[in-house]
Amino acid sequence: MIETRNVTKIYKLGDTDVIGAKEINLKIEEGEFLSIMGPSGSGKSTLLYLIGGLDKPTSGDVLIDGVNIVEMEERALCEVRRDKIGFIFQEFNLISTLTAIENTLVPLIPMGVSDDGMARGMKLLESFGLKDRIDHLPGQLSGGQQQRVAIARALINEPEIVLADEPTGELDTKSGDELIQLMEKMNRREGVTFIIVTHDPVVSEKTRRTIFLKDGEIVKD
Amino acid sequence: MISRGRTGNMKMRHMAYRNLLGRMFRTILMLLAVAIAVSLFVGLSSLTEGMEDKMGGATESMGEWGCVDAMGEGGGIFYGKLNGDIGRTIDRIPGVRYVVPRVYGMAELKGVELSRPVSAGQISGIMGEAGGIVMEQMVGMMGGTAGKMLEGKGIAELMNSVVLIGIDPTKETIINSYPTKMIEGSIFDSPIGGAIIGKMLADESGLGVGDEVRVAYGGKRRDFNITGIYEVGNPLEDKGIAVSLRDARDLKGMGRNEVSMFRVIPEPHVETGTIGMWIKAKCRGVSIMDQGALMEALGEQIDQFKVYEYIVEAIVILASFGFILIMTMRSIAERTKEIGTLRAIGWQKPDVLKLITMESTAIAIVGTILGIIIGILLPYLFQAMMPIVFPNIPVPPMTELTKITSATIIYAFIIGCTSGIIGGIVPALQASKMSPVDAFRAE
Ligand SMILES: Nc1ncnc2c1ncn2[C@@H]1O[C@H](COP(=O)(O)OP(=O)(O)O)[C@@H](O)[C@H]1O
Ligand SMILES: [Mg+2]
Repeated sequence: MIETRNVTKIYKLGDTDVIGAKEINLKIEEGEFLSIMGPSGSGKSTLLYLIGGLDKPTSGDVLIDGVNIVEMEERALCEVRRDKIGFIFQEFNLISTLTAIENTLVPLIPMGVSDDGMARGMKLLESFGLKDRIDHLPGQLSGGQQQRVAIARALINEPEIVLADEPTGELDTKSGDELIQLMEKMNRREGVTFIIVTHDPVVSEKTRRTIFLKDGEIVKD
Repeated sequence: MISRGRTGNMKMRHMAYRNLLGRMFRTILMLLAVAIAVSLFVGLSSLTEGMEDKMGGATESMGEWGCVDAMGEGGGIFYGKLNGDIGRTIDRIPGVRYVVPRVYGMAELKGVELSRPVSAGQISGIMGEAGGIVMEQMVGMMGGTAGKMLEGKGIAELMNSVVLIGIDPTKETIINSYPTKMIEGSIFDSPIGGAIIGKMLADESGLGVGDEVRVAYGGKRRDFNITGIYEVGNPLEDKGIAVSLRDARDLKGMGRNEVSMFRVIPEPHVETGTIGMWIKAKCRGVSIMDQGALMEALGEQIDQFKVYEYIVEAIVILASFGFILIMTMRSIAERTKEIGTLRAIGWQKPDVLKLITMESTAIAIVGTILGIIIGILLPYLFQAMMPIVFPNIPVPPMTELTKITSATIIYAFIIGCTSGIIGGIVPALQASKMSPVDAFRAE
């Protein structure tokens, strides 16, 4: 479960303060399939990064399973990201020199890739329709295929939460649709919480809950 | 296109390896940066080592003690003459331990082709001042006129010229010279018709123990039977032929009591300079070459050369270090997003550091090995390329002037590896410090 309490993030740009997030109070239950909508610059990415422990709020608390990650040290926070959270990015952010399966396994590498991990990676790619793309480099894959590899990577550690920042932003409508379907399938089958940032209403329609942001504030839930 | 086999390999080192192969151009540039620095280091070091070795050989050939050479004024050892009585006078000087007579000349070997003629003129022509001075002094040791004579003669004329040395085997044994430096066969025991030759001469002429050789001096010719091969370490003497005093006098047309020079060995702890002054005072028409002082001067020359070498090496190493740093910095900039992604998906800072350290270690080690190989081949490359690039300049025998020591290899390894690894780690440290969010927004 995720909970934010009065989370505010102010970026300092010289003398001016830029509000990234303002007094955000949210409760997201386990297994939710949720989207965050809002115009560009409304603070969607900021909120996602704060929830995911990539950035710290100026004030307020972020609780994951009742633990306040704002007070955590970098090392422990890194472990939370590794064990509980998966990330998906707009530009896929795959490692260009590694194959699909290798990219999928990257989160496991520092701890050592076990046979189980390897099997899980293969199974994920297979169930995402990438069985014959396993040894392809990102450059040899389409955008949709790359993003599916990124989802496999996000799920490899069996996280509770997957945070996706405009995952369909670089994809055509069809690939985008397929991708959201895939996420929904993983949400239903494995109970993984999905938080999807998007400014595409078609995407948000497919989620069960949508939060609207404007100027860093929640305007509708 | 891409094999399925690699699916099973997923350790950090494989990832490092794949990153290196996947960015071939950058990898090759970094390898070259390390390799060039290391090869220049090895090349320069082997040149100084080689020079030092030759100088060391020259010192050794004069015996364990410093010595003073007394020779006829004006003519040097090749053309000067001394009366044998002078030897007795010198022997009575307090502090003199041994007086050893020698006859020197530049003779020609008939019917022999020397495969690799080496002349001082050639070397000083190419190696510039430092090398020239060193070689001049080596020639100087053989007598003042030798240098002039070498300049006067053309290279072609020098090709078959060797140093002819007339020796007294018993006295040479006492001062630990030729007879004790035999590497094959033995010293001649008859005072007529026996000869020993230097190792370089043996190598270049193909002459060996048991062979006959015809030596010409001026209009005279004499045949000698080679009884042994010596190696004293001095290139001029090692490319020479030693016969009895009597035979050498005969060839040169010297009188029965005449010699080219006396090598004077002082008692232990007696300065060669003091002995030199005594000889000057007691004997007229004698010129002195203080070998002890000369070797000291030569040593200073080498030290000077070493200072230049160290400066050049330092510049080379710093430049390559900077290059490696810039290359890694650039690659980090390219990879900032990648590093941010790794951090976002749970890689700790040390994990990221480990990956980049592995990459730069691999580059450092491979680049260093490559550099050492190139450094060893450098003299050969130089010798092969010189005639193509500068057809008119004679090529110095670089392969003979250089010497690779294990110390050079070890230092090369340490320098190559540390600069390669540090050059990789410093920017990696910087990149791993960056917060993932900053890394994403860095575009
Ligand atoms: N590192 C930063 N420094 C300064 N301002 C920032 C930074 N990151 C984001 N912002 C600002 O915070 C606001 C919210 O940004 P962001 O969360 O990226 O919005 P969205 O993802 O909805 O487009 C924007 O006005 C943006 O300019
Ligand atoms: Mg955004």
